[in-house]
Amino acid sequence: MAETGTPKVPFGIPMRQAHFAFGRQYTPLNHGSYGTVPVSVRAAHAALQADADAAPDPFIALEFHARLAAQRALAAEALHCSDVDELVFVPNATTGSDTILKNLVWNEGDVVLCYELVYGSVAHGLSWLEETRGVEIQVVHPEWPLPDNELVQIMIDAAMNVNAQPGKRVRLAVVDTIISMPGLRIPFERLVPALQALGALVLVDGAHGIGQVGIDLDVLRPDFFVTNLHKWFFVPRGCAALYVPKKHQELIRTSLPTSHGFTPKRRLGVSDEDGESWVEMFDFTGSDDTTAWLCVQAAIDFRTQVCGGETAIEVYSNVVAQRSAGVVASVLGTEIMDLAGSCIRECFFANVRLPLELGTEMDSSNGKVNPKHAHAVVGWIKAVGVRESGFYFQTCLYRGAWWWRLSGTIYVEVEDFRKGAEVLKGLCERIQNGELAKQITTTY
Amino acid sequence: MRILHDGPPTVTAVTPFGREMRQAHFNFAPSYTPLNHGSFGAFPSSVREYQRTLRCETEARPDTFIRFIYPRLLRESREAVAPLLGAETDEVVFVPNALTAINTVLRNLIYRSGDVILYFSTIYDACLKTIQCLEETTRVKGYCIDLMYPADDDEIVDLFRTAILEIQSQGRSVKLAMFDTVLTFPGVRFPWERLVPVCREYGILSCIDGAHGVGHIDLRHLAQVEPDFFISNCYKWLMVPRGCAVLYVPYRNQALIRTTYPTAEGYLPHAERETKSSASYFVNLFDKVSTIDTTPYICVIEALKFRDHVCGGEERVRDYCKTIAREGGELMAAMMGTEILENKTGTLRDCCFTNVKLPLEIAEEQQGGGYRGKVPAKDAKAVADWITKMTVDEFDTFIATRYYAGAFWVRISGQVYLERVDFEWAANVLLDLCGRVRNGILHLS
Repeated sequence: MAETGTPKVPFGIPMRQAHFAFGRQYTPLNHGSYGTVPVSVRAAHAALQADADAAPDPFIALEFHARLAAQRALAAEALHCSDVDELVFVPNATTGSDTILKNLVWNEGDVVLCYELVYGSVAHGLSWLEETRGVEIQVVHPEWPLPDNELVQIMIDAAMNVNAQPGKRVRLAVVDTIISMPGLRIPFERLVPALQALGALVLVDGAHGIGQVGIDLDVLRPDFFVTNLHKWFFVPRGCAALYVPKKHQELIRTSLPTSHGFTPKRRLGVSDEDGESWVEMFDFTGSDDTTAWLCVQAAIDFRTQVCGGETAIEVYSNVVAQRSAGVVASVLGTEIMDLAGSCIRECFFANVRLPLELGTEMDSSNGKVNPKHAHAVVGWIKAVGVRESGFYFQTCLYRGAWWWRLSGTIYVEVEDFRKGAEVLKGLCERIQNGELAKQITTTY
Repeated sequence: MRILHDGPPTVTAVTPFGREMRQAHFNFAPSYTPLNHGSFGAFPSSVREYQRTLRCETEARPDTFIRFIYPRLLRESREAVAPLLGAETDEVVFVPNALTAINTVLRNLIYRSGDVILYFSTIYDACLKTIQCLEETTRVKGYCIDLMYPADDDEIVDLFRTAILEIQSQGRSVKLAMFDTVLTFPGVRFPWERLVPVCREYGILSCIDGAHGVGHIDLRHLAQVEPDFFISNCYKWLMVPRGCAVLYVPYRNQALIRTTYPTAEGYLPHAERETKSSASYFVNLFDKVSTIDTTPYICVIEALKFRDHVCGGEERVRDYCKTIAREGGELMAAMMGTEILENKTGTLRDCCFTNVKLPLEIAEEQQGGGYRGKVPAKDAKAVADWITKMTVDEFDTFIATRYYAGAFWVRISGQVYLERVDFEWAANVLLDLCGRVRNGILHLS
């Protein structure tokens, strides 16, 4: 039951010091990449691991299934999925998405529709389909920021164009809840029904999902859905949920990798006490430490009892990101990625443009960045920022400009981002003064 | 505790194997008797502490650690494990477990009509499931060689050759053969070194399921034997935490591995792959797959240190595990009046498992109303499962019991934390449980 409570410790630096264990010299502004867990969840995790070590066989072979079922039920409740047997755990969203892509049987004329900012590994999974299954990948190029109405229309038009071609159809569409880089909320609640109405199966990549954005699977009814619990839900790394409604489970024949729970076709339909259910197939996919999967309760306890509930977390995280973005934009003298009619900022991310200008091959003077070095900027800022200042900046090059993606969380404050912005400003000045260019030419 | 392994090792005195080793270095519950190392492995306190340190470091600075420190530690780990396979560093990558590795190899290959994957009936169940899945989705078919133990090595090689010829006579061709270093059940050494040259002779790819491999048997000659693919778990016999296996792919075969499972950052489609050397593509492919806890991969060096300094070296560990399994098994067989599983040439026991028969007989047919001390064949599996469960529920251990080849067998794993008295105790437990079975105390419905 969501409470609009008050956290036991104020959000921001007090929360960071009381409940997290970051290094003293480290300012964590990039929760979006790898997440982290509060100390109480780490303790719960360590206790589970100790249990496993004390008596490995009973823990893994006998007790795990029931324990896991309870945790899956908690995740299902949080995602408003009333049938818990439509929800399994996998190590991460990439595995979940790839399980879908590699299980579907692809026919001549099948097309996958996605936009250019689909997550990198998913894009590679699609590339693999193209190479090995002859599937056509139709990539759309919306220019963010753009109004939601426009984005939805672009996707609908693209799907209709494919369907209008003889012998072709959009078999699968891939959309996100929140795009990764830049960090952009997507109107997925509109895209899913719109694309389904055109006959497509829709895979929703909710890697950035549970704990950040409201997800109601009973209402949304996507064909496939994945979300990482180890990002915004404070569960330890290696835990994601994969949702496949009962009507599609026959399409997803195997876990990735295939394991004991796979039931060969010739055994299906035969009453077989030894046969495992679809859900059980995902219980054990090779020996691994899946104690993270048993930490959902501990994460929920922290979120309700210490943080005061989902709404409290959501409000603070969103506000701190957006307010900080304003301050950062001010320090950098640039702007926040935004547009009226777009929901991109209705999440815990904000994207602020870096004060760098992309030059041309001919003209890289006056502090402009040589196009040959454009991608190196991102890596340089990451490495130097971390090495010199304890700030890790997650930036990307998008349509000719560099953007810093800020991650709002309960353990950061505007002041953290302001300090980061000062450091980043200095790094950008050094780039403008040619430091990066000199390093590249001397190194390579 | 340092993370980076660039100081002189702290030399600790070698700890005697058995109870002392267990108490000083392992974390089993005091009342638990760990007789089944082969299933899920176990790792010592020093490795556990090291893993905790790694996890602390990760949470202290997630991006810094994962992006900048981890890659170097990963490379060091690969450098440390490669020599155990007689391989070069860039022929060895880490994956979470053997199943992932096997799926990676089998699913990357391209199968044509008539292609066959050859395997034995003793194949690990999940590997069989993988082949069955491939039968449904690709053109490949599996071909099973029936194998019943005790079997001699010559017999196995003959059966293998016969199967290949049979398949060829059907106008089909063996694309790949998969077999073990040490079987899961029964726990016996398998003559894999003899089958690899046969594969080469017939142009068959050999894929070795060495789940019980690294740390269990000496594999420094592996690269010389020249299998096409080799997989081994590190979290079993190398005392690394769960979630770590190695995939060995010699340079000549790396171009066959186009994607990880799942497909991730490192994947490039054909045209772009051509621009990189296959070695650098292969290594890069597995460097960063998807977000999981990869601390087990970088615990290898710490585990090897423990085995060197505290256990006195790899050879000493392997020798003890093998010897204690052998002697312990003999002791159990003597106490129960039964036998251990062995073939005529004595090669089965060249590993760290022992397989001991239980003092239970199968009834010819049910004599109305009861079976007088014998087990009806139809109840055999249930009896075996009951015994296994009772070892957990009543005796706080786990003795894997199976009905096989007309008798009941248990598989016990030798390890450095066990000694004779543990096997003696196990025999008494089994005598107790078998007695109850014979007295018909079982409720099997």
